[in-house]
Amino acid sequence: MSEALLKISESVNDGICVITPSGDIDAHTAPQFKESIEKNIAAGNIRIIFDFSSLNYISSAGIGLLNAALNSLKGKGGKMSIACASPSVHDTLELMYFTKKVPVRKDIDSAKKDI
Amino acid sequence: MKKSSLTIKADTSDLHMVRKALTDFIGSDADSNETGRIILAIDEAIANIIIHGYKRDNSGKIIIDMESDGSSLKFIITDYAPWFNPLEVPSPDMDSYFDTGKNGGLGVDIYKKIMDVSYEKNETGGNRLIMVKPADKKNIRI
Repeated sequence: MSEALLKISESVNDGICVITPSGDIDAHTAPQFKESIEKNIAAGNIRIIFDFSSLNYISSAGIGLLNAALNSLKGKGGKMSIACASPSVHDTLELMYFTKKVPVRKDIDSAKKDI
Repeated sequence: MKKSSLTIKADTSDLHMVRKALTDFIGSDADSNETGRIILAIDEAIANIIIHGYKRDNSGKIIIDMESDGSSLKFIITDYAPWFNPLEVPSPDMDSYFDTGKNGGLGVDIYKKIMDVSYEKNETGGNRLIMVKPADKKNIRI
C-alpha cells in the first residue's frame, strides 16, 4: 500500500476556516479535496483560507475545485483566500488565471485580511 | 540524446508515478520552473486520456516516451483509446469559465500553452500526442 498522496487538515477559529492540504492535488486526489471543501461550506464555514504551505503540486483538477468553491462562497456571501503557496504551486495558479480571481498571500495573517 | 520510456495503466493512481519519472528524466535539462510546467502539461494530458479516452477503464495502457537532446525535450504519449484529437477542443473563454464557477475543461488549454503539441491518429487504433518543449517557449501566461 503506497503512502497517501494527499492529507487534509482543517481548523476553524474565530469564524475562519483554514484548510491545509499536504501533498499533491491531481486528478486522483481531487475528490478528497472536493469533499473537504464541500463539507466545510455545508457546515456554514464560508470564510475559508487555503493554506498551501504543504502542497507540492496542484493540477487543473484542483484549480477547478477552487473555482467551484469561489462561486459557491460568493453565492453565500462568503470569501476565500490562498496563503503560503510554493513557487511552483503559485506558478500553476498564475498559469491558470486563478491569481486574477483570488489573492495569494505570503502568510495566513495576510490572508485573514482578505476575508 | 537521452531517452527513457514508462508504461502505466489507465488509472489516475499512476499519475504520481509519471510525475516522479518526469522529474528524474528532466534532471538538469530545465530549470525548476520549466520542469514544473512540463510535468503539469503531461500530467494534464495523461489525466484526460485516462478519464475521457479510456473512461477510467484501467485495463488500458499509456506509454510515455521521453527524449532530450540537451536543448529541447520531447515527450510522446501513446494510448489505445478511441480516436480523439484534443487539439480540436476549442480554448475556453477564461472570464466566462471563472464567472460561472466551472470545474474542469482547462487541461488541454494549459498543455497547449506550455508545449508545442501535435496529434497523430494510429490507423490501427489509438492516439499519439507529441509534446515538445522548445528552448524558446518560456514566460508564457494565459
